[in-house]
Amino acid sequence: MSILAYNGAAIMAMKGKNCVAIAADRRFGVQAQTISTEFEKIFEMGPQLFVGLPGLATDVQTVFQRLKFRLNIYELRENRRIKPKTFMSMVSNLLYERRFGPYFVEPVIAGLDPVTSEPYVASMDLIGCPMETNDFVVSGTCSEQMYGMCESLWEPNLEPDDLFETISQALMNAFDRDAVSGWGAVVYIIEKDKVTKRFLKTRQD
Amino acid sequence: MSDRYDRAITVFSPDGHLFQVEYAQEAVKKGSTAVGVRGKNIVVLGVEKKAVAKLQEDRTVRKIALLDDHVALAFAGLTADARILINRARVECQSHRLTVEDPVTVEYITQYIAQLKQRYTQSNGRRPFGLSALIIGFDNDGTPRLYQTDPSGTYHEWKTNTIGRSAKTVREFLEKHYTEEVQANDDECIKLTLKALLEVVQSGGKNMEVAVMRRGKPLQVSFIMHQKVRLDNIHIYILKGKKI
Repeated sequence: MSILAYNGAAIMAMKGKNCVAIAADRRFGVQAQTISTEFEKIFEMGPQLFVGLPGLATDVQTVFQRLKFRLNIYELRENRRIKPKTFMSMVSNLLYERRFGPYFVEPVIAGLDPVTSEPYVASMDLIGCPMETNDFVVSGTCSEQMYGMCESLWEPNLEPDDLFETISQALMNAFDRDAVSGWGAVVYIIEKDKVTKRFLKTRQD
Repeated sequence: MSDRYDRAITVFSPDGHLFQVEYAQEAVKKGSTAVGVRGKNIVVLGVEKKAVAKLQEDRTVRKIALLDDHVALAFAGLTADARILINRARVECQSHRLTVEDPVTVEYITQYIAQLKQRYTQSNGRRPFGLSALIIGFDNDGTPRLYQTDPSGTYHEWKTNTIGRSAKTVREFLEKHYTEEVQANDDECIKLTLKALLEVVQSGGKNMEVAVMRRGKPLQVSFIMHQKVRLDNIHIYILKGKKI
């Protein structure tokens, strides 16, 4: 089994009208056995900036902690909030530093620019190759299923409530076709002045 | 006798002095004044800001630096040296959070800075850092703290202290006016800091910067813009509080 599929995960992010959404499953398992159904894979890096980390669970937590370290120093030195695009470069740099012994995570970034509030999504591979898109990004063990769902359901300029419906349906139906992801889901809708976190009731299998 | 023993700083003079360290302390005495006051629920730092040249941008010459959410530092002495220490301290604060999953205590980071300073008094070819620092903050359990370090690498805890130019005068003022009542009241602590600075600051009010930290809240840095600061109604323009 691939090391990236050892723990199982499904994360996606979508752009909407003046908002972004990021969603993930909540399963933490060791191959076939599910250990926890409350595992956090999406982390807040700023008031409107979130990063989702699918992959090997130990690296999920380590990459988050090391990223927070670098981000804190950045914000202390620069005396301002980081831009999502710059944050993406920071993540990419952190991963490429380990080019020949990588962290087994393939992050997904979603946020709003702290000044202009423009929506931003990006993803990258485990050695830090970035990909910025105008619609959605996916990452995880069921990425092919997620690509199919997003491609079918997404449309531009969705309002926050519609975006919530779209991303929830896309994620749920994708991870229902994957053995190692699912067991609950969490969805964050990020708007200019608020962030809403919702848990989804899903099939528990 | 002194000129033969202060080239390599690892060397003691015959009468037991480390002259480079003492010269560094002289550099501190030339620096602009900084005052720190510790209250029951508040810690305050005040610094004298040197007047900038007419053509220079008056963007704050940051004499008060945030080391972490809950710890701040003001210094008197060489600004460039301070920048190095502040960067090292910031990294150490984050490193501590990463390895022990706890924010630093004010004493820990003071000790780290002091140790760094001491190392530079005992190695080849390096000169000591020419600054003293006042470090304020709140520990995890909510206790407010104020520490002072100096170029020799020693540190002490204070209820209120001052460093830099005219430190003696200001310290006498503080000794006279720091009371239990002042300690208990947040506004009184701020007023004491301002009054202490006014003892030595040149044009009376324009050239001061005050930073206030309350328990659990981010550091607030304020400018005093008015020519004359009337301490009964302080017109303070509060800048954004810094939060990680």
